[in-house]
Amino acid sequence: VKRIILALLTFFILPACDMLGKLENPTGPSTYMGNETITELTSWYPCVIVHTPGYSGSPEMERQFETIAKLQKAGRMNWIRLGSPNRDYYRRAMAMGLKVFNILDINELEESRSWQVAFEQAYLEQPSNMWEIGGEISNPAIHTKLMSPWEYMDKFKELYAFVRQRYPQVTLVSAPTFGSATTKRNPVGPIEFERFIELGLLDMDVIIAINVYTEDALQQYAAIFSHHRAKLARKRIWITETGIDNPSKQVGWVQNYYPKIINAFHPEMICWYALWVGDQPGGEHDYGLIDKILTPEMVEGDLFRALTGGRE
Amino acid sequence: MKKYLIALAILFLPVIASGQTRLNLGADHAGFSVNIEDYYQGFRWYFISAEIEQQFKNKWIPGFAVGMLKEGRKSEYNGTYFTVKTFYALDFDHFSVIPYGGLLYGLPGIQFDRTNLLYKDGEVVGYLNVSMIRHINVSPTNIDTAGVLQPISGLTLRKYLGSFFVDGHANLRFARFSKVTSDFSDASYDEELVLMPSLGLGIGYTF
Repeated sequence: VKRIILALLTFFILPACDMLGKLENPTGPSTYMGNETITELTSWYPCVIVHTPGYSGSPEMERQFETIAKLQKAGRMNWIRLGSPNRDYYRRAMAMGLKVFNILDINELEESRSWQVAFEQAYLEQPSNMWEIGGEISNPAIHTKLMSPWEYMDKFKELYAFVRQRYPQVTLVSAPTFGSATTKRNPVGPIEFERFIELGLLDMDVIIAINVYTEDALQQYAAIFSHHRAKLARKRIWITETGIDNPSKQVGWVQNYYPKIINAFHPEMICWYALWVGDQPGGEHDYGLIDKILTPEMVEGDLFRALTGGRE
Repeated sequence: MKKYLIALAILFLPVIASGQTRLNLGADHAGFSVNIEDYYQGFRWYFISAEIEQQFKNKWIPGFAVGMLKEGRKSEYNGTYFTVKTFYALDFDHFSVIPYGGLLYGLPGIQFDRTNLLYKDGEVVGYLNVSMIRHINVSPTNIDTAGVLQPISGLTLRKYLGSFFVDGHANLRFARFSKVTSDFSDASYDEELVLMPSLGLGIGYTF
């Protein structure tokens, strides 16, 4: 009889305990309920990543800047982070009054005689005051040559000294580390970020950048931030990439994931990846705020419409 | 080494070590606040716990309990911990008063990180942040110092109903929090020991 009573109690108590867990989260933000609810996007930061496949007059670039103008007019975009240096995009963005956050990719840096030469050439063509130096240096999907944190930091420190002396108005941004933890047991990005810190990143007057795409990465980076909070308190932190590859969940991402990012990393800026990632499905296509820009029926995603107030 | 093994063997001789083994299940409500300047942050949450405890017949040997504690539902967001406690039961007729102390070890998630952004002309110019300090390795994570090891203590009031029992307990968890005020270049950093009280109910079974 006792065992039957114990079994019955267990049967009822375990679901009850599970329900208790649902009741409250200490910092749980509101949950996105779909298009019918009022869309609060107070956590949004005005920075969007724009890929640069076009040129002045090309349909890609013209359509992209039409949508950028809408975001800017709605007060949702002050910063443009270029996918790669492009003079036409740079000039158009500057002419619109946007702040340009440029990037020098590891491939471009390594193809040059030295990082200093690569920077100088890029800067003289596009004198942005903010340059991200490399990104996701151990991501085989975007680099022909992978780089260790030790090699990166050696070269980054040399470039830093050069830029401080020759271009003191320029702020460098460290290479953002992987936004997704490849596995829980092998979190490549967070471990790389720890190595950067051990190698002296926090002793440099640069913006600290990370990319964050997953809950695992969020937790792992948060643990590192907790450990180095005193030193990071004096640093400018940028989340240089976040987003989700499902257009129907993008509004929810800003409502639910952005507050977690803010609570854990207190960033000065968060940049959405990305405005447009091509018209063809596959790859990173579904991260885009807009789609089919090379067709007459351009598609504005839920988040884009919510940001620009264009929700029907 | 040998004498320690002998001492351990004597301690766990059946005549000494015999006692009662119990399974406890509990649900607790916790709440506390941390403030930094005018930024007041209140935390409230529920957690569930399960533990196995051993109470020895020999009253000179304190009992011990090992268990797990889970906050919320999302492992990345909410904490998951192991607990180890030692207790001393003051037994009355079908009733016990049990003070206990112990340690909590695990990953706190990001639920205890809070930031209040400071704006000027629509731009973020600084922030106030409070967060629980992680300070110890939890090996499966591969992140240095991702976890916490914190003292806990409390009092359980237990009523026995045959082999079953119900209890109410008050618990205190001692955690260190960091408090930061920053404008990204100038900053103040402080640490504070915070008491995190919780109240809960439990049921259990004596084997």
